[in-house]
Amino acid sequence: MLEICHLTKIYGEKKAVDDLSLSIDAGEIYGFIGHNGAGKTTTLKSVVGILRFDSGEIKINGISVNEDPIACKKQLAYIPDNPDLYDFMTGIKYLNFIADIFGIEQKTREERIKTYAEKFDMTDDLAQPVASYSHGMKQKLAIISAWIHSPRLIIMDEPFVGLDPKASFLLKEMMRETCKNGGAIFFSTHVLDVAEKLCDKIAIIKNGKLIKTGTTEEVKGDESLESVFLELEGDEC
Amino acid sequence: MLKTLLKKQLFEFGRAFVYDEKNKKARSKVSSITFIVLYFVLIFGLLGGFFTYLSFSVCTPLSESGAGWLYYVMLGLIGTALGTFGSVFNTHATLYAAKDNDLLLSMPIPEKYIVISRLSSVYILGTVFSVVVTLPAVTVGFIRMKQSVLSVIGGILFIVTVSAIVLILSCVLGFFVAKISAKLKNKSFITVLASLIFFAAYYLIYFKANDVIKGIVANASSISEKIKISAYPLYFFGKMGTGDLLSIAVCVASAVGLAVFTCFVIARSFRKTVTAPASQVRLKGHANDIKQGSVGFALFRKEFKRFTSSPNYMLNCALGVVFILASGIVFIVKGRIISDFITFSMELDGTYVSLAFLCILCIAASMNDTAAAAVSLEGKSIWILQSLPVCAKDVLKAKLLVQLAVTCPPLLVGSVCAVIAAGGSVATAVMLIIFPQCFAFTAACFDLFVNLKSPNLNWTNEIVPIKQSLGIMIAMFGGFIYAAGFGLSSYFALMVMPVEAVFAVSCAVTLAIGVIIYRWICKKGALIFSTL
Repeated sequence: MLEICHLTKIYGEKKAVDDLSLSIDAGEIYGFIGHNGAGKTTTLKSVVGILRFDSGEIKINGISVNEDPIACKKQLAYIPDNPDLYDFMTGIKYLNFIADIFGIEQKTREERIKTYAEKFDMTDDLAQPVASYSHGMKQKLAIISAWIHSPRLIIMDEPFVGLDPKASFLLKEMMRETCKNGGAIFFSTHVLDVAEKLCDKIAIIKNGKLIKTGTTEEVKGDESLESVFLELEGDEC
Repeated sequence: MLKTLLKKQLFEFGRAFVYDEKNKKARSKVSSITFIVLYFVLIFGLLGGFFTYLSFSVCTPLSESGAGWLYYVMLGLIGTALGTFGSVFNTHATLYAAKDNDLLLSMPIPEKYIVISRLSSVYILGTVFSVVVTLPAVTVGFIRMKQSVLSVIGGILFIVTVSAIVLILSCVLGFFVAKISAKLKNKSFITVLASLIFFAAYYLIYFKANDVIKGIVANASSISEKIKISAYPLYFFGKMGTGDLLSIAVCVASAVGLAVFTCFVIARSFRKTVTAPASQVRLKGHANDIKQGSVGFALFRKEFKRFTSSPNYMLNCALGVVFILASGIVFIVKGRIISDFITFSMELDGTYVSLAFLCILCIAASMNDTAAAAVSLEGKSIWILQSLPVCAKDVLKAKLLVQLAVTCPPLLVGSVCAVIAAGGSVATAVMLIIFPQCFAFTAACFDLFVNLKSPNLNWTNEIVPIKQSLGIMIAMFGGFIYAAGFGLSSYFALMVMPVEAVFAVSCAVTLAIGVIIYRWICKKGALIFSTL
């Protein structure tokens, strides 16, 4: 589904991502963990085509992000760490905009908006301007907009931040459901408990370099993910 | 603490001068100084030059008739109007709509400090506009009137007093804009409507000013007596410019006192005003908002919604609509006078009437520059378009289309009015219709080009990319200069070439420039946008 080969991204003289390689198969939930500034967001933004990278290759279902970014973007959805959405639109108009971009048919979009809005208790709020939303509501709207076109690959940067417990639970359910239907999820998080319970595979990044990757069981072994993570962080210090 | 806030506010205010958004690094000292000098030359050179001329023409007759104070009243009121007009929306945006209000309020900072720092940039902007009038006025007063130590002090304090009055009026109006906008449902359009009425009144006064000024100069003594009887504070206000000690003391104390009081009142109500819910009206129902459309239309609709949701954007980047339509009305109503002036007084043939109308329409159209802020206004939400499966080229086209949608229909109306008023041959009629449309296309491409070359996505207040960016100035004045250049070159070309040839070449050249810029936008511009 997603192949990242030798990805390198340099800001000035600093290598934000250094020769990072990993691959995600259909049906997998892949957790991406690391300290602040480790290179998680840079990697995710490179995957979704926001950032140009200096070397390496990223392929989504065999299509290069560099060569055909539009074809790649059609297959994925992205939720950033801080959902700065269009404040000047209402929630419903924002969802309609996203549905138009992905060419979702009228009936399908109506059904999906209704379903997800009800799930997240957003039905009434969708008529309000995004400017009046709380951080959590914006996050819910970003989640609905990501799922509205049933993407095969979902990239999320800290998706649980700002969500209430019910919404967090729903999001985890939706992530599992997507993978059960042949999709894949690649997300960054600092909530190691969630990563441990939810992810099929985990990658740990430090200072732009991938320092450990594999199935959750392989990465954590007999210890908790938190212990492994802290040990790895300590080793490098 | 106040010093830190002031530094932050002033840095934000002058960020464009010292920070290169394109290269994400601070400008060199030379570059910053050049930018600042250019800005002030533009402001003081154009507006200041006009008011210097006005000051010279009214100062001597008024001072000779013993009404030197009336000269200061006149120029002081003009300076106050210009300063207030120039900064009233800036006040609302800077004071109440700044994105970092919540952040600052959450910090252990006294609210009065936040207000004072915010008002510092309001004061500077208002002062820039008022000084354009008061500085030439006082300088001319120094040259043309007898001076004493007191009159020099009075003149200098006159400038300060006017700037303080501008601050007070801007604050009061900004406060009411904030209060009203918190309660309105369609506040964008109502704000625009109210502003346009304000502008109309302003320009009505502006256009009548010449007659009014002549009337004041001719009847200086009787008007002076009337002011002394029915508007004594104005007399006091004018006397301070001539060096009357009591007037200086009273006016300075009143203006400074009122300014301090205004700051105090705003500081007291600041938290309540900025934390008030955006709208008390909760919108109902949304089934009709789910409508399938094409990608291109979705992008256009999104851009157009961005435009119509912001009074600042509409007023600052689409004011040309009003001027184009007003020009059309003027062509119909006063076309004969313009035509007679050109054909009889200037002894030129009717073709020059059409040329004059074309120039007026194009200059008015130059005031529409939505595309010059469209990229910057994406701000932090630019990730949405960058992560969606849309070509950057299509996004940029949508931004162009908004400017064209806002400009072309009124231009067509203005052109039809011009055709009716100018008469002339079929060829000139066709050109009156076609050339403004070509100009609108090229201007839109140029505006977007300017914004792509100097985008600013890191703003905390949308007024920065809309009003305070160098790109906006370049876009607008670029249009003015091109329209004036077209008028001048056509004026000479018409002496040696047939009208059809002159207008056809003008259209072809304008369109060619537009197409070249458009192709740049589709290729390099799209690349720039996708890597911002």
